[in-house]
Amino acid sequence: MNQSHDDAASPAATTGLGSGSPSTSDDTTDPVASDARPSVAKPYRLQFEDAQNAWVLLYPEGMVKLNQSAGEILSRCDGERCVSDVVSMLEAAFDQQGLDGDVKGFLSVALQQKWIQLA
Amino acid sequence: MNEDTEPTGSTTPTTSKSASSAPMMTMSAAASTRLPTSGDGERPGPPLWLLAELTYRCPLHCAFCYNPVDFARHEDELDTEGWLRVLNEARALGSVQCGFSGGEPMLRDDLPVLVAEAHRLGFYTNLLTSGVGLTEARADELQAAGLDHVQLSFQDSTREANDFLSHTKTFDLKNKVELKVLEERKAVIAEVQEVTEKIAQMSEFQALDTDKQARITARIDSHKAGLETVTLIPVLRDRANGARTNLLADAVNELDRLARPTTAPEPQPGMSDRPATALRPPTTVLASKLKVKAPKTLLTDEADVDQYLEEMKKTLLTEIRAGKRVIVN
Repeated sequence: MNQSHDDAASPAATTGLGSGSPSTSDDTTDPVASDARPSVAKPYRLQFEDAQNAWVLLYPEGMVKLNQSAGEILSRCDGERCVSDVVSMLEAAFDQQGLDGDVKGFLSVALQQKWIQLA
Repeated sequence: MNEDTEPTGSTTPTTSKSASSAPMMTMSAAASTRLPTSGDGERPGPPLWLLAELTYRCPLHCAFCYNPVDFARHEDELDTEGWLRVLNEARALGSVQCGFSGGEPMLRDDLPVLVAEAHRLGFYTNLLTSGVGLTEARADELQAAGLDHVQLSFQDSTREANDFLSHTKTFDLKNKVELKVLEERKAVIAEVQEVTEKIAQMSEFQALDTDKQARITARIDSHKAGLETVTLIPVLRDRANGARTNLLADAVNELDRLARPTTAPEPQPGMSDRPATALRPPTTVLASKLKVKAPKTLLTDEADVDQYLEEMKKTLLTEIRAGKRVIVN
């Protein structure tokens, strides 16, 4: 997958939380299609934690603390919206263009970790 | 946060660039309302785990247990109101995981009330139990209250050692709980098997060479990979449901893709930079996902059934005339 934009276009860079885009060159990750509808998979639960000022994924005996861009992406994955809807929403919310590669890159990692499922 | 301290559990995601996993900390049931500060004044993260030892009473009497032995004084246990207060205080501190433990927490009649409150507050709720007293009805009640996860303790895989270690005859009882998990696992395998059989009956599948057939079978079989390590009933039900709703369609689409001729189309002027195999919309649709415009919500006689079938026929034919193939699942 080629990235048609520089890092400054990612939501993470906008908010100063470091790179939110994992490597997309990993051959073992499946590409995530634009019309796929991602949602948080069982047994994970996504919620915003005031005490940590972050979105977290809870699972039996564990927690994944998400950085802001990961949280902004996952919190929009409700199983109804497709990937391109999520990308458009993020681009509008952060006044950015070309987030497609970053979002799909993160979602393919999330899929590999089994945090999400696609419909 | 330390990157070298991984949370323990049945599923342990590794850290990635985009997300860091935080270590779990434990705190005693008596929660302090103030966050501790470290020597250099830097504020540590919130206490993430609330381990609520609801009672020291237990039907088992395991030789190795850390439980205090003077649990005859169980009238000193926190009452329901006391635990509700602790849950609220811990959540306000930022705890995200709540473990209901003991002793045997199933001995507390107010367990569903406590689970419901913990769930309402946003805790991920875990029950740590010996399984004694966990009937199907109680399990359903706890699940309805919002219980996320159950850990069932096992003393040993043999009756002799289990009953010796726990000083009780509880082996059969624990087995029964385990059998329920096995039953859910079998349901997943049965769903996957059904998909395999349906695919094998399709003429398109039979026309493929053995290599391609094996690829499709492997794709279907991957749905039951690692099943033996899954112990969470909701996850198993989710898997079975996924097999029922998505797997057949996925396999048919893959079958479609493999059955298509692989020769590239004639290159056309101006199209040379396009990939040879353009994406096609899915050519299949699941019958169960089609909405039939039912004339009535309740069918009560033959005329109703005829009318419904007529509508269903229209719906199916619309799809087929649009070039789709309908999968009956």
